Parts: sequence; structure tokens; C-alpha cells
Amino acid sequence: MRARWGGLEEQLELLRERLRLLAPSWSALEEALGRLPGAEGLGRGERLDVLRGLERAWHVMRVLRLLSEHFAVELVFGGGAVLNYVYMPQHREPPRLTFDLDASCAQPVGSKRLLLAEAVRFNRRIDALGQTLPVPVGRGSAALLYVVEYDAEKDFFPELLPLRVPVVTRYDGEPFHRFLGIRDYRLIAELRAVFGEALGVEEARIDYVRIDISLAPAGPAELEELADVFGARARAPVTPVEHQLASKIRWKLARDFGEALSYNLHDVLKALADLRLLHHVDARRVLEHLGGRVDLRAAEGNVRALLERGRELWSRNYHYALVRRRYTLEELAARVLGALRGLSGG
Amino acid sequence: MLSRLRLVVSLQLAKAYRLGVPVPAGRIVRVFNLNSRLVYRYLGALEGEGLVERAGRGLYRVRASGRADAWAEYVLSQVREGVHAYFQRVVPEVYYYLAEPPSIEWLGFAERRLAVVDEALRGRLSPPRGYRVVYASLRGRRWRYSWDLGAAVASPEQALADLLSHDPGFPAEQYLLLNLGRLDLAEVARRATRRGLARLSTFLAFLRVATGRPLPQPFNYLALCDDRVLEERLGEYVSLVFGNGAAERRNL
Repeated sequence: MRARWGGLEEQLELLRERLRLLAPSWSALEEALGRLPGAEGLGRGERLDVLRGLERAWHVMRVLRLLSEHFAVELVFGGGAVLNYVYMPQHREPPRLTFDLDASCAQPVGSKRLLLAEAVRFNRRIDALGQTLPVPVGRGSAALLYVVEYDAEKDFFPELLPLRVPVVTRYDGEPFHRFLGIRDYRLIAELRAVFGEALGVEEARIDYVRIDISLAPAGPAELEELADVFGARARAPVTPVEHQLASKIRWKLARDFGEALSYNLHDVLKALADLRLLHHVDARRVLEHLGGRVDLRAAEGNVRALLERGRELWSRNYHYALVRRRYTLEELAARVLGALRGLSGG
Repeated sequence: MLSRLRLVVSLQLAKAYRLGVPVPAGRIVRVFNLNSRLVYRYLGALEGEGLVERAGRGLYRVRASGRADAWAEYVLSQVREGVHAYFQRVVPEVYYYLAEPPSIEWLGFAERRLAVVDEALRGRLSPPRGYRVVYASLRGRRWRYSWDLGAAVASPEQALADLLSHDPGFPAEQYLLLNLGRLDLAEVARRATRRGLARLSTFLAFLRVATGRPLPQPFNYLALCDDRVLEERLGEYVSLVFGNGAAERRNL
């Protein structure tokens, strides 16, 4: 924990030192990819895309670990990141790439301001642990990255607090000097040299890890040891996977979107990809969470629309690159619908 | 009729005489932004007249004599009283300043003004209601005589540092938010007490979270922010940053 940043040399040294901790090495990303099912058949372009995505996924899981350490049992995690970076690899299923983190408060929280105050405490704590990144911007000043901030532009719902964490990446986001408004070319050159040395990319970028926190409890929670695709571990309360899958069925795959279906096909596709896990969990528990019934007709209608109109979402998006290596869209649809029929006894 | 320079030098000497303290000539030059050669020449002339004597290195005081007494009386009769009448009449401007940021009228007027007074005057003043007086060493502080106000006022950074440090009721955060780009916050931090620095850092740490702006500073406000201040002032911070009903609309 430092109260003053010191001179430029000192600041650059600190940046160099912190980047070693706060950015994954390219070889670590390649190793993680090597462990993932679906990685073996990737072409060169797709492989680079997936590595690029995994760098952001590494940050997502790092943020999850830090949040779980700070909030202990007060914050319950769930959603795509946990399903794809923890459970999918456990069951030898290729993950889809996702870059946001969903969580909910274990106890109801009356107002978002309480969480904003907790975000300040969280930032102070991770700063004391050396988990923030001070980037020199000139005149002895430094901007702190890797801290949690409120995402006002994405605040649409009274019960959902959108947060974000700016992180340094190799290829995604805005160039660091533009993001930080640095105009001093000599400083930019110095920073490029540091980024080049630490990341292998001089024109480092800054992107956001997004976190959505629901103020209301999302349902049951179980304390679990989460081992992610990068080999890191976190002990955190998680919404049981069966409950998460049931939510995906109810609110995404088997939801009657009416005329808005075209605008929701990407959500249907995400749910379809995640619901592969139905083959690896206790189906009875999923059915319990669904109240004993599944709207199979709505699910079939949504999947049919996806096959007819949403093929591009599937074939062009590198988020599904690993899943595509194992399944065609038809196979994926058949597999998930089959599991749903099994659930509903149809 | 005395020139402006002669009037202010004489007033410092006369007011200090009544309070029983000497006047540092260097401070007169700095606080009133005067030509030092002319100041020392005038002090030399007063010394030659037998009205003033040296009281140490760079220190001058009015001689204890009937003639000097009458001179001091005459000088004090020249005071033009304004808003801060007590200070204008009684306290030499080299020994106090008012900590009030400029353009404060946009925010309304504080119930009590903060006056920082040299600790040499502790026990010698009886300021009227409406002033919160803090006695402290004035060494290293930045203030100037305001010819418009007729009183000594702190530089914006000094004023903010003092208000954050000594006046929990003053809306310093509001001023800070409205003038974020204009203020040298590193200087405010340097000039604030430990309590003031905690208040400044806590607000900046909250702003960092609430606005999502990187807010670069030469000091690490996260490391200095204080949980107690955050708890006490959270409501104030939210209503400041999320004005115009935004806090209610977004359930903040």
C-alpha cells in the first residue's frame, strides 16, 4: 500500500512489477487452451481469437476470486462465467467464451449505495494486497486500474447494480493512451516499452470486465471450491448448477419471446450452449427448480427460429469456436432438446 | 492621507501593538504582495521617527510611548470596516486568514466562517459568533490579503485543506466536485491534516467508484480512505454525485 507514487522511474518499475502479477503470460493462456476440450481442431485464426478471449476470461476469474475473498458468503456467484470456466471443463465439455460475471447478494440489499460503499472498501483492500495497477499519466500522477467502478451507462434496472473493472489486455478495448488521455509522447513511448516487455504487445489496451450484482437473492446457494480453466481456485458460494440451468430454461430457452424473438436469438443460443450441462447434472433437481414443468413447445419454437435465422450468430462468433469443434448447431439443438424432453418426460 | 502601502504596514503594526505581539515584516510583503524594498524603507522611516522598534530578526513592533500610542490610535481610526469587521479592526492580516474557497456564493453561505489564526494569538482574541477559529502555526500556509474583501483569505487549495481538516459541516466535497479540474488536489492533500486527508481521500475513492473516471492523482487516495468517513458521509456523497433525482430513479 503506497500513499505516494514517486518519480516516473519508480512508477514505471511498479507498473512492470504489478503487470507480472496482474496479466496472464501468453504461455499460460496457451497452456489453458491446451487443456480445454475442443482446442485440438482450431485453425490458426480461431486459435488466436480464442486465446484473446481467454485473456479476458482470466481477468473475469481473477475478479471472481478477489470478490469471493472480500465478500465471503455475502455474494453468490452464478451465470455464464461459472458454468463455462468451471463446470464445462470439469465435464470435458468445451466452454463458450463469456466476459461478464453475475452475482447476487445472499441477503436482500435495500439500496445500491450500500454496494457502492462496499466497492470502495473492496478497492482499498485489493490495493493493499497489490492487486491494483497504477499507470503513470504524467506530472507525477497515476491512474488506478483494476478497481471496481459503477457502470452508470448500463444501469437500467433498480434491482441490478452494474459494475466494471478496467483491465489491461493485449488486443481488446481502447489503446491505453487514449483511454487514459495521455498526450505526452515520451511517456507513451516509455509505457509502450513496459507493456512490450511485460505483455509482448506495446500497444496495450484497456477493456472492462463487467459484473452484474442482483440486490435480491437469486435462490439457494452452496459453498463450493471452484477450480477454473486456468488452474486457479476460489472458495465461493455459488447458485447450484441445477438452479442455474433451470433459470436458463425458464427465462431464455423456453420463454415465449413473442415478436421480440429475433432480438433474443443470441440469448437462446447462449442458453442452448450452456444447457449441454443437463447431461451432467441431476435432472430431477432441475425439474424441481422448474416447478415440475417445462414449456417444451416454446423451447422447440425458439430453437427452430435459431436454426432458421440465427445461424450466423453461431458460425461467425468466436465465443463459440471451441463448442463448434465438437458440435454442429443441429447436434447441439438435438442434444439439448433431447435432454429437455427427458426432463418433461415427453 | 497614507498611501496604500503605508496604511497596511501601519495597520499591521498598530493592531499587533494592541495585541502585544510583534509583526514579521516578511509576512507583510508576502500577504499584501508589496514591494519589499519599499516596505523596509517605510519601516526604517518609522524606526527613525521613534515610533517603531525591532523586536528580533525581521520583527517590528510599536514602541511603548505616549506618542506611539497616539499614532497607533490614529492608524486604527483609518480602518474601513466591512463584512469581517472584528478581524479588520483587531487582528493583523499577517496573523490570520479566512478559509473560504472562491465562488462559494454559488453554494450559499456557511453558517460559520473558518478563521485560521496564528497560535501566537491564542487567548488574546474574542471573535464574535459566526466564526470557527482554529489556532495553528501559519508557517508554510498560503494566504493573501484580498483588497476586495478587506480581509486575509487563503488560496483555494489552502482553504479547501483547512475546511476538510477543521470544519466537518462545510460542504467541501461539493466545492471539490464542482472544481475538480481546477484544483491542485496534491497540494490540498499536502496541506490537510490527517483527518482532512482522510476526508479528501475517501471522497475521491467514492468518486472513482461512482463516476468510473480514472481520476489520476499524485497520491494514492485508495490507500488513505477511511471507513468511518465513508459511513458518515455516504448519503451526502450519493446526493452530490447523483443529483437531479438520479439516485432515486436508479435506487442508489
